[in-house]
Amino acid sequence: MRLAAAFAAAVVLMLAVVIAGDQLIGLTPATPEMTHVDRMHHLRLVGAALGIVIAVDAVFVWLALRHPPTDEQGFQ
Amino acid sequence: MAVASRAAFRVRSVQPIPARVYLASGMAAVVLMAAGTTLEYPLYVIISFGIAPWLPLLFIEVLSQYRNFHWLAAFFAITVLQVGHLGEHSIQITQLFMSDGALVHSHGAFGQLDFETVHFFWDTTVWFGTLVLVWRYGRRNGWLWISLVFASAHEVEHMYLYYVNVFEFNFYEYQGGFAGIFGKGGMFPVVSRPYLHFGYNFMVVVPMVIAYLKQLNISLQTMPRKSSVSASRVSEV
Repeated sequence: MRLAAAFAAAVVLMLAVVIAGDQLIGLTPATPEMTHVDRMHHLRLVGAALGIVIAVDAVFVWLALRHPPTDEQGFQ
Repeated sequence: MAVASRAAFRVRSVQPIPARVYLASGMAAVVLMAAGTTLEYPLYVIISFGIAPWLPLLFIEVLSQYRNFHWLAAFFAITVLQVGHLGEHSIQITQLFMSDGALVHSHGAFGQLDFETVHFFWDTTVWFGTLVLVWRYGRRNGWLWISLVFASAHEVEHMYLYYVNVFEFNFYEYQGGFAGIFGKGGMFPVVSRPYLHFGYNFMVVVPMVIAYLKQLNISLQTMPRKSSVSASRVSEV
């Protein structure tokens, strides 16, 4: 429980650094906005990447839950 | 915290390297880094000087863990590499703070490697490594699942970024493709890319470190006799 609390505190600190950095300092030069692009095309690309990652994740999650290692070192 | 400190204590019991060796390595690293700074070497050389004295100890530790716990050595190696990766992102964030956000001066210590191909292959390797660790250890280690969620999200970003970098370079370079999915200027803007990717890596690496320490503790508890025998063997190396 104390470990989880310490982790949560570290995440809050990280978020503070990220948000403060982005808001107070930002990036120079700023990245150009996505304009004049086929948004649907890019949504499809993101969807394809998401689909690949979810499919591969699902295989390993299935292996982890249904076929965990049974050798001597399986859970070591 | 209790698990981490207990595990840290156990690390010392598994790995019987005398404290003076750690001290000597630390002192060598400090002296080399100070020399590199004095001679005004590039940052990547100075950082490499700081890392080099620790490599023999790292090798012995991996060897020891492989002899004792087999797969745990891979877990340890991936964790150490990832801590280094987070260090690189932390340096980049520090550079942004020091240069008032100038990206040209903020590519980390090893800025020569700051391009999409390296990002993609490194993060894909990390993602697959995390998946294998989840398969091996996930049933008893919830921290790995947190790491996997963020490694997967990070991988989606880099798959998309790598694709547009290779196949739609004009869009990548001049029309906001560089920002990716959640980077400011990207598909669903949240924060600027360097800060976003620092966040992704933090959320992958910190749970992975905790997961490793927890797993080390479990391994030591379940195989105390074997580990003590192997540890004595390692001390003979």
